[in-house]
Amino acid sequence: MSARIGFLLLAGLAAALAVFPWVGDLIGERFPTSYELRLVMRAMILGIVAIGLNILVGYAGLVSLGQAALYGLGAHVAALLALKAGFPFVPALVLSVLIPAAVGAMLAFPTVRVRGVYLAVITIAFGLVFVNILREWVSFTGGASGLVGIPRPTILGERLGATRSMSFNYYYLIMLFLLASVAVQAALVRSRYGRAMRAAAQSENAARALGINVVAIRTLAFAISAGFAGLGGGLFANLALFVNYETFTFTTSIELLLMVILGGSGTLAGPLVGTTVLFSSTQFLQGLGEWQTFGYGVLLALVLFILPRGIVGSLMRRGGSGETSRATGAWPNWVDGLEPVTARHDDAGQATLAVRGLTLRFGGLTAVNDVTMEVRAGTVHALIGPNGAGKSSLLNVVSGFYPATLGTVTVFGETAGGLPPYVLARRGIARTFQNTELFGQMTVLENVLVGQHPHFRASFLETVLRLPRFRREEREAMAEARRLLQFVGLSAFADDEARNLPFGHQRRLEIARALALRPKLLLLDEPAAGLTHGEIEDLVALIRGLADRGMTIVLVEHHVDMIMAVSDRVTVLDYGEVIADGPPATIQADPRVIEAYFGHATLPAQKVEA
Amino acid sequence: MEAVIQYLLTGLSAGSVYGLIALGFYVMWSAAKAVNFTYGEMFMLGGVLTVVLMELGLPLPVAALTAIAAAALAGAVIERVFVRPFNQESNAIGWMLTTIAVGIMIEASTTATYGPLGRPLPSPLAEEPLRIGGSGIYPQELLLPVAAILITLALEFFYRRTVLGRAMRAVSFNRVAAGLVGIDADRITLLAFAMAGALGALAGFLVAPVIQASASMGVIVGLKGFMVAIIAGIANARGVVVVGILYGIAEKLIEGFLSTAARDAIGFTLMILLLLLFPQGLFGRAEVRKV
Repeated sequence: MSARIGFLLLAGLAAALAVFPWVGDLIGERFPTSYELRLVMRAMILGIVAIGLNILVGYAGLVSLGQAALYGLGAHVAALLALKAGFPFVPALVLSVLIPAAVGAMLAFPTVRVRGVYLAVITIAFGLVFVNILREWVSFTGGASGLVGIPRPTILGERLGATRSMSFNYYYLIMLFLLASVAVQAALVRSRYGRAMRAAAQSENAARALGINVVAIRTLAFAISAGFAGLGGGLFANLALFVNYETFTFTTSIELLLMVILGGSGTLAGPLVGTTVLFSSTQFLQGLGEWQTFGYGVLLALVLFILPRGIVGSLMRRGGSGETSRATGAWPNWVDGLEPVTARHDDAGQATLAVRGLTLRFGGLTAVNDVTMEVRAGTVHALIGPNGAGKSSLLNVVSGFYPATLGTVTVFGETAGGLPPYVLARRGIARTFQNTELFGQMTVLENVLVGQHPHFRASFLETVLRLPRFRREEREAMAEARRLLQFVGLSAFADDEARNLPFGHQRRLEIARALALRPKLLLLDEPAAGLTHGEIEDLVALIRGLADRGMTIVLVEHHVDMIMAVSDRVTVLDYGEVIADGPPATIQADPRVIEAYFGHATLPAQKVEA
Repeated sequence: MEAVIQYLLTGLSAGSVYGLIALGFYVMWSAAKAVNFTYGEMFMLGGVLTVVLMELGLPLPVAALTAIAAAALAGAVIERVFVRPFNQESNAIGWMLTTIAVGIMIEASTTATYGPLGRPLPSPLAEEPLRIGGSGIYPQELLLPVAAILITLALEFFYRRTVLGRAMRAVSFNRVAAGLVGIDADRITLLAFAMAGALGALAGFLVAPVIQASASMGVIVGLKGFMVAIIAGIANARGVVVVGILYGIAEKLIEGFLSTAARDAIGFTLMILLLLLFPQGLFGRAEVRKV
């Protein structure tokens, strides 16, 4: 579904919602009554909550099983502020968004640090405790009888009514909020925030290596979804003018989740479609009586088995583009405008990376033992050694993925020990992975855009409101991403999902994505593995070209020919220790290196063959 | 003082239940890096099925064993049908949702057929309370910590000393490598879920004489058991049981000195704070994420 069709459908929905209260006047029937009007208003409110949940589930890849409690929290904040503190409608509504968002952040931060699953557990628990408190703390929440007599909301002295016969301007207010929510969702998803959420969900390691603070982005995602839930709650309290815990139980949380998944999580239209379908079928489910909850369980299972992508996701899949053979461009293709990629670099001769006395132990295993090495700016420094020599481990320490047991790492003249990968990435260290780590379900272009994450300056608010600075930065990022794809010859594949690329192309994409960071130091972990001879030659030209333009490159590789062709200096590791260090020609002749690779040369009769 | 002893004793027994449930989560998590999210329903089946089978005229031991076997089977079916197909990618979340769907179905259908109210499970150990320094406790309740300790020791023995247990640890450590040395990782995982099912049902059967067997008895206990396992770090059997017992005691103390409403709110806040301070859990080690 293209953006255009989506926009038309949305406009159609908006028009239908706007006309709905007047249908009776057009066809001359008493329809809708206040009851039906309220049903639609409640559906719109649930739609707002579902949109928030979609950002969490569909984009950030996290599950909340307590969304109803956050919805309820918003409702109770609005109700309590109006009843006990005499707050006017607007400030109470603002707080009914902000308080759940803050609570959401507090729930998310401790849990998403470790595993996403924990968030699901904590949210269920939060939901149960929330209902428990509402039920037991009768003096504050009214217990089972709830909070009654919430005053009818007013804006600028205008009473907001919700009845067919009198006035129903509250209906249009809810509709405006729903449309605004749709717009915010769309803006968010197509911004660095949405891309970072998806990236963190699809490959946490790659996201961290590209300067994304995974914990922060997940916490943000949950805070946003909680804010939407709170908004829905605030609107609900002012519609029903009565709240109690029964509306916000675990069953409602499951219902909300079902709406998102049924409609299609991770699609813009999904939550709206899901809400509409499920809300219409609640009438049927209610007819099941004591088997109603069972019905929800069956429905959830059925959707997951039959329609895992949801209604919208499945429709979009069907309309996939016909496969055409496309031309892969030559690479490296130094197009105009690429200069900024290599523009920031250390002065030649300076030590870009200095490792001193570095030791890395995993339990009793010493992977890296007292390594000291220096990489000068603008050079290609190869790191070689037999399998298990500690090359990748060293790379992982330098990029912040493993904490060093002993020793220091200095990058760009500053100590880097103990800093997390995303901070180092922002300072200018980019890397690729031995087993390519792409964001498989994002397009090729989006993968490169994720690499530009740290360059954006537009604030969250500017992004959500699509203010000029956000638009300009997004345009510039898009142009640079396209240039980088041209650089590696993948322009024709820009809109493919990355996981569908052939292997060699995936390697190219990973390099383009790393370059999007505009790194000063590029760490390549076996970039030639699995490439054809021709591709390796291109890769050599690319690496050489980057170094000639000032970038510093550390290369972990096995291909001896390639190392000889491309490196300025070679460090050889064996059993975690440096056994040789020098220019390629010297290394090639070093007996210790030959021994490390081919075993003992003590028996003179045995000839070492290369 | 008497009150405190009473809280400690009942806390010990309630905490043992959390410990046993947490142990089940640990067994599943080690094998699959996924769990039956609504594992509390296995616990419920242990209690409810025993009651139903006894009402049908079976003697207690037969009824209990049948219930435990049924829960083991249910655990295995859930793994095969609802977890395995939805746990293929490393960041998969599908298994969470599918197991929740199953849990809802089990609980809702039990409520509709067995009824929403709890029924007693007669036990000779829950008739006359023991008097310990002025506080009363049923022998049945004291059975729970004994069972928790014995099962923990048995599980540790199983993991360390038997071929099957070692295979299970190998799968937990590295699924692919275990496969390379000829261990059928899928079957081991299936077995782990069956074991967990039996363990949950056993806990449900043991506690039913004290709390009555009802369709909803598993939800909260299952959830708290999961939280306990997380706080402990899902790293070893001893750790989860110890944290379970401590949490049970803490709950009873809060309940006794404050109120039932405060119990869950404080307990929950405590858990969040602990997780904030010890992201890897109290007994968990920071795992090095393989890059």
